[in-house]
Amino acid sequence: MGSMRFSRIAGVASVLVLAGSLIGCTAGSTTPSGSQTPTETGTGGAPVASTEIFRYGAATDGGKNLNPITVANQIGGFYLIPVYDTLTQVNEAGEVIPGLATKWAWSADGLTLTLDLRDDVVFHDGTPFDADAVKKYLDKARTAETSTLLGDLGSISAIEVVSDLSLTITTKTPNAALLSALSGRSGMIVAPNSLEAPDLDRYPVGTGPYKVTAHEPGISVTYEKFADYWDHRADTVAGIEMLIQLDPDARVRSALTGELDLTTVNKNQITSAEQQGAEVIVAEAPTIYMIYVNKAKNPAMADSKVRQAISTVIDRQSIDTALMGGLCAPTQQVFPTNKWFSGDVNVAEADVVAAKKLMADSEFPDGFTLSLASVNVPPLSTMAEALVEQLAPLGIDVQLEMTEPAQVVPGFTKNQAYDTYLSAWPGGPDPAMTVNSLLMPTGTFNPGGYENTEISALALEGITEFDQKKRATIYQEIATIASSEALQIPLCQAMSAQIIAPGVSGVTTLAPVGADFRHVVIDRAAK
Amino acid sequence: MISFLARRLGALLLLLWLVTLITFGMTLLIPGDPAIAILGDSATPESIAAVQEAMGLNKPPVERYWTWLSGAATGDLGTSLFSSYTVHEAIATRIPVTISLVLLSLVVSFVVGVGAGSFLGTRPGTKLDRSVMFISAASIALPNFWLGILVVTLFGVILRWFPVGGYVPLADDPGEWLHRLALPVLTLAVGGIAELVRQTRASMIDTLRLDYIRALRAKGVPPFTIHYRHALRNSMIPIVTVTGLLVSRLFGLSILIESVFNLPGVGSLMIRSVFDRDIPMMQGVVLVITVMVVTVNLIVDVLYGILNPKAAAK
Repeated sequence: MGSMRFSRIAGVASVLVLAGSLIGCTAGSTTPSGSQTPTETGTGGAPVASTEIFRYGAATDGGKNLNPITVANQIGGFYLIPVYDTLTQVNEAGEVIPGLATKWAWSADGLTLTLDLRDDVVFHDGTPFDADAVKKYLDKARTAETSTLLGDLGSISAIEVVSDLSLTITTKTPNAALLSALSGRSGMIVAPNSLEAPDLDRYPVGTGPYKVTAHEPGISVTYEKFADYWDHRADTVAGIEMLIQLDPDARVRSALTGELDLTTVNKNQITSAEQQGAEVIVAEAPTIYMIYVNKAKNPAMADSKVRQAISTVIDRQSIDTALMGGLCAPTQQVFPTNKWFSGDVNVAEADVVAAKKLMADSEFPDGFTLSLASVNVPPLSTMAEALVEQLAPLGIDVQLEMTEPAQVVPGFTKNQAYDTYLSAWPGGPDPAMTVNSLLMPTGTFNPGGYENTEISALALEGITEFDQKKRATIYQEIATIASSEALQIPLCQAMSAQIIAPGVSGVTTLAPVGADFRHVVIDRAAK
Repeated sequence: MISFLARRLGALLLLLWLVTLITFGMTLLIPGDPAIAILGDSATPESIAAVQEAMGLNKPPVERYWTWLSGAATGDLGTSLFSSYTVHEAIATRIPVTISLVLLSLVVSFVVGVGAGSFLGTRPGTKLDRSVMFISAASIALPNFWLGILVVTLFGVILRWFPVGGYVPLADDPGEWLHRLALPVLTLAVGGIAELVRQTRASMIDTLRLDYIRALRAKGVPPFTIHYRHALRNSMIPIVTVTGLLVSRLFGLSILIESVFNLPGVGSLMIRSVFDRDIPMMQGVVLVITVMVVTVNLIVDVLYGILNPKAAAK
């Protein structure tokens, strides 16, 4: 007690000393519903149902829209996971495993996928989950004008119900990535009676272990356990509160004072949070910080030697240690590590001499002006500023365009207003998705339509090859070519950092969607 | 008085129309297509066109403004571009938070500021007077955002005397409502207290120099009665004016305070709407805030007339 009092006094003094600084590592808070009696075992040894409420501080308000068909926010998947089971799932190695579909088989020609479904599932509105529900959902998702799943499901030509719990999906061309796609929003089956509901975006109806009972967009989403869930567990939390707190310092404050059970923390906040007694858990994430390159807008970026020079001169190690707290492993490939499709690309150390030689051999030996867009929040903003300094020795005058997401993303992808764009690629459940978006002529992050014919041929081979080992070889080759040509310029693969309250366990990640809170158990007595 | 109110209401309506027009015009200048923001990376030309058609974003600006204005006139402020959340529901959920914050801050500012200022006005030049003037000058200069972080760190994180933020409705738990607003109100009220202390003090000093005060003293009226029954009342006119201006400032500053203390008020809604390019939400919030500020100014004018019947007669 004496030492606590001393530390508080010392803390007060340090706050006063810090009066000249703008931001300390402080925390915000939420409107918690409060914890209740933790789980305990009843007299017969059977677990008593938990009454705990798990409170998560969300760093994005992507939960405004909970309709998986029209969701555009790629990083708000954690809002959807408690509500929607998916047809398939992907394990940590990126391999497809059963979900609502228990087994599947491809036809010999690779054009027809037969799915067998679970027979013990009901939707939150009580209607049974069956093949007809899956067909209705997939038909809606692949045809609706405002669907954001057209890319994933565009290869489907027909869906037929074979029996109550079996259906076939026919594709126009073989698509080995389809099963992986069904592990994401493409496979989040909405109850047929709710597909056309005007408030589906606020009150989703799925088959997941939790259902939404209250939704104030931009403020909070409240979930309650679904009693008829097919994998019902007594020990998992009775409810979840997603509390939207966009300010990172406010979230840390809330976590430090016990008003949140879990929240993400920025790399530059970890040390301070730990010094104030927080438990920070770090986990590998598939997110890769990358410079996307428009190879058509600026003639210099169409020159492979220029791109290679840029990739060679960038000091990825210093970005990791100085800006990312050692939590962003340098990489030069577009795929994350530890997946079945991960490339085998070595990361070279920054070499200014070699980079200058590449520039000298290029058609722009005297340098050029390069626009680099980024959102105006750290760590991207600080990373962009570092790149300005790192590219300067090559005579490249980087013009930073720092702006907000609503402007920068369409600015690069649709309006082609910038030569390059620094952002984080979240990855996909299947390497084909990464290749399509980053390396194919029609890729969203390949504006200008640059084509490497070798990669295009390999991509076609990869999507039509159903043997995973052969696919792995194909995508590793793609990764090598993309790296050697510096078609995009990966910098580092980030790790996620979160502050977790004592007694909280069971937080995992459901690739590719996001953080998974379906198995959270809270025992507040555990310290 | 009735004709005065009628004139002011007319001016209010004209002002509201101008504000909505300017706001709508400014939304046209903000770069970025809401349709692309709605659809994200998977936007295709076809899906963009479909969203623009569904949301009316492809209509001429004049038609879009008229559609919105005619709906607003009947109470329909539209729906968010990103969900089925109506603007009315969004504002109705968040306005109590902002009003609680601003109102409490105003009350604290007024009670403490006028109380201290009237006391100091009777003791100009004393050590206490000089000290308070110095502190008030510093308080006015302090950035609210920084002060809020300091306050929440000290009283919330280190001392754990108060929650670090969040909001509980008054109807749910009045005690917790006040408990959670204590730090944000303290932060927001500091500047208001400082301004009102200085204004009240100056006004009191001027009033206490008037002949009728000398006459009251000569008649043997107790000092307390002279100061707080006679002088303070006649000092209120400029105080009420400053208080009216303070309300506008408090609404503006509440946006920053809502961010620091994670209060789900209209200020944070406004910020998100701008970042998301949620035009109906932006317009609705601006309209509501304008109505509140202008209404407060109207109340100030009415109070001015009550306090100074000569002004009301004009």
